[in-house]
Amino acid sequence: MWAGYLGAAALWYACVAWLPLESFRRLPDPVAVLSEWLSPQPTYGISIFTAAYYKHMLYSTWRATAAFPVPPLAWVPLAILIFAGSEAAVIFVTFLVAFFATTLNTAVGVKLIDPDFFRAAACLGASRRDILVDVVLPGALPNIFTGLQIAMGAAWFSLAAGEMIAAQYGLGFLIMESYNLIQFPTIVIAMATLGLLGYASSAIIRVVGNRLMRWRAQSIGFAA
Amino acid sequence: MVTVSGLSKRYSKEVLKDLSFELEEGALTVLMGPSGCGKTTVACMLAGYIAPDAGTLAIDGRPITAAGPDRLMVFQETALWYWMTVLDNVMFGPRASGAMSAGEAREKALGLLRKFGLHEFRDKYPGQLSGGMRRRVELAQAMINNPRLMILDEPFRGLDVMTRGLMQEYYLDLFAESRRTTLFITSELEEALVMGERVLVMDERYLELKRQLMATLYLPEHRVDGGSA
Repeated sequence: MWAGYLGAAALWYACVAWLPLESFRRLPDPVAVLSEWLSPQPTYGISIFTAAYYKHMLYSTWRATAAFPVPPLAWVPLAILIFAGSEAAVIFVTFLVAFFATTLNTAVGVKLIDPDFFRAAACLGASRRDILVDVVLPGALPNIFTGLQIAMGAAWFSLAAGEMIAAQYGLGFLIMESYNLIQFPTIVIAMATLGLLGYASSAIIRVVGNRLMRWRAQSIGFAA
Repeated sequence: MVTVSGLSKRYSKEVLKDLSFELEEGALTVLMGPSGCGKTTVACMLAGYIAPDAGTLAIDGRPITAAGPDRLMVFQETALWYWMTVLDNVMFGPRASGAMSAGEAREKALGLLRKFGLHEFRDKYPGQLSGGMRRRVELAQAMINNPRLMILDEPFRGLDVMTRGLMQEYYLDLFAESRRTTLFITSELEEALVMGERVLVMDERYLELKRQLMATLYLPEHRVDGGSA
């Protein structure tokens, strides 16, 4: 295992130091990263000696654990008991994952809206409904769609896993059954189909998002 | 007439202490002072966004207790909604307050955009405009509501010298037309002298002496009255 890590670090160093590629030249080599990481006075303000580093760690850990104190797949047996059947249980677990990803991102999106936007609306005589429709929703839209993208990926992931454990039909079930019946081509077909469906659903979200957030593409010059 | 009397505010430290002044009707008054002396806090109180710990603010004797379309504030950083087109941004006020029908608001907004030289940009988004153009859109957004008091909180900060000079002239011309009571906030002496008929100078060092407002300068010959040359 250590040989693998060392090999990857060596490859990284070689790419940055010797490969004649501009995109690699901009990257730091592993020695630079390590010395910054362990430096008592880091150039960019983040190292094991800075409080900010631990603050970021704490936030990430809190976020990772706050919404999912129980891993979604651990819900499957209980969900089967609650919903008396595997179909509803798999849907419940998929919903659970997607719901948290979307809700958390939406909440972050609303929090990130510039307070001046609310003040300006209040100043112009906007009602609470106007502020919700014209400020909160469009202001949080980028994060809502980021959440939907993440939720879609996580939903397919937990759907496949849930179907492997507790379903009679579905691509996850097909993968597991093909594995048990030693039908390897079917496993790959089901995997590829899952990938294609995942890609298509993400693409639909992306297209809808781009349509609803035309201002974003235009502001950064992607559209006329 | 806008009256501010005995204003005090404390966050983690004291920001305002016993501050009093008046804004004359139809005058362009500049509130000047160094960063952190409480100018924006005063602006936010006049706009009705925050309440003082002590003291009163009033327009024509009516106390200011909440935000309202009779007082419009142009912020330090642009507060145009970047998901709305220029036209929608300008129309927002009368549409939201119900002061005009959608058709009327559109007509008036288009008229203002034409006057502000932004008519051909009406369908653009704020992110597609330069800093000076965004400031003009904000002025149009404020003007359409016909406010009693304009509060401009360092509105031209961050603009390059040329654009800033143009915007100053632009606002002075606009002011000369309407004589709308204006409080213009700045931390720069040069801008204060260019813009103000009357300059109120704040200094946080005078907090302890309870004299935060340390000077009022009446400028004898102002370009608004003396022409825009």
